[in-house]
Amino acid sequence: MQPRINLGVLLRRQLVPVAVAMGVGLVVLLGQFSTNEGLSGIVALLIAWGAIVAAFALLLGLANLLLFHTRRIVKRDAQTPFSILILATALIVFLLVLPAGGSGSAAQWILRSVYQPLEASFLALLVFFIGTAMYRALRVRTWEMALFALAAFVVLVGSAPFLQVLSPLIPAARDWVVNVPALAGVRGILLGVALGIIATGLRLLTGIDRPYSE
Amino acid sequence: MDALFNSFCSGGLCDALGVWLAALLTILVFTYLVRDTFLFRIASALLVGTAIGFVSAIVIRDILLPILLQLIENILTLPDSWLALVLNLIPVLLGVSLLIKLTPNFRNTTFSNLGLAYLFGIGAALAIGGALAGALAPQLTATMLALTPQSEGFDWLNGLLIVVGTLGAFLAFRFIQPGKLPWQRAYDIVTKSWGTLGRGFIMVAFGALLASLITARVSALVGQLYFLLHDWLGLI
Repeated sequence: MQPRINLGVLLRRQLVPVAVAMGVGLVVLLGQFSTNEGLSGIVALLIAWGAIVAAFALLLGLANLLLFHTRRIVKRDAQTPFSILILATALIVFLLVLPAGGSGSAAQWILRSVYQPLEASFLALLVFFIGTAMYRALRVRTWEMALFALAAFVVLVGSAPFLQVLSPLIPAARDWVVNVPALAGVRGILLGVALGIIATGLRLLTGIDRPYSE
Repeated sequence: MDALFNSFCSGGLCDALGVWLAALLTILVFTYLVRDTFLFRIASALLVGTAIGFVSAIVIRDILLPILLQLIENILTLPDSWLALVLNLIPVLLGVSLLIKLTPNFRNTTFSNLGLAYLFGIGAALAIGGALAGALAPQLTATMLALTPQSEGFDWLNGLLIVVGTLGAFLAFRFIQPGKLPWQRAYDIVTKSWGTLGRGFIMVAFGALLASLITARVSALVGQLYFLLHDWLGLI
């Protein structure tokens, strides 16, 4: 026997969120291409509301993260000490930053002494992984990889100040690679990405895709 | 709390402590070069914890608390402020609908999807506007301008290369089955060949991007090593 479908509930669950997404989206889209002051005011209000809802969404993500680590602490697996460390650090930083905000001296000290060195060190660590990945990529012997390696080599050599003094051709070759073929490649990708964003956005605004009600 | 922190840090104590802490954290991260140890995981946990604490404090202090205080003020000054109350209440209700997703029983109700629908609607509209005005129009204009007559030497050749490469890179992402008519097959051969040429331009772009990325990361590495040797150890 097939399960009975309550059409009213189905319509409400599908139609109301789609109406909200379509209504808000079309007004904001129209407002971007209109000079009407009344419409601009409405769009500004909708975007300001969007910022508040996005803040709640961030809060939802943070709450989810806290729940995840709390559950892991309760389960007591091998990762429990790191979950405790994450929650303890988050709590201490939260209490230090909350009273005076991001410009307070405590927040600035945390940024300067904890966050910035950690972030810079993680980024610096990537040099070694990129080097390994490049070596692996070079083992694939195709004409595309040859062009890839050649372009990377020319730009790398052209960016090194001590090699630039050897010949004026080195920085000139780098500039040509960056400003002509690489620019053309990036531009083609950007055009494809822009068309993809527009197509996906239109699918959302017309209700064909409904990721919010699935 | 900030005043307490300032009184604790008087006399440059926190500056010295900050340098030692930053050096220790840098070394913890670099231990990964030997192997993946618990020291590296401590550094990862500290980074995640700091980011969570910082972002949640800023969001609550600068966005959520002001709107909640505004709501309380609107309620206290009723009935004069009913319109302001409604205008402030709508985004809060949409936000609360998002938070309801944390509860297992109400996560799929119509109300709990409203906030997400609002964010998707506004995000899609802003993305379309941004893609049209920020990427599509300027990139197409710049590509067409490359074909304008050039005064210097071989600049026209560079302009032609940019146009051929841009269209080729764009065609490299064309995955359409050819039709059966002769002109459709000929069209397919032309676009496929041009797309193959465009793949070469894409690889050059990736190579140049990778080289720029390596340069930036090497700068970060040099910066951290300089910090360890100069600011912390004072060797150079």
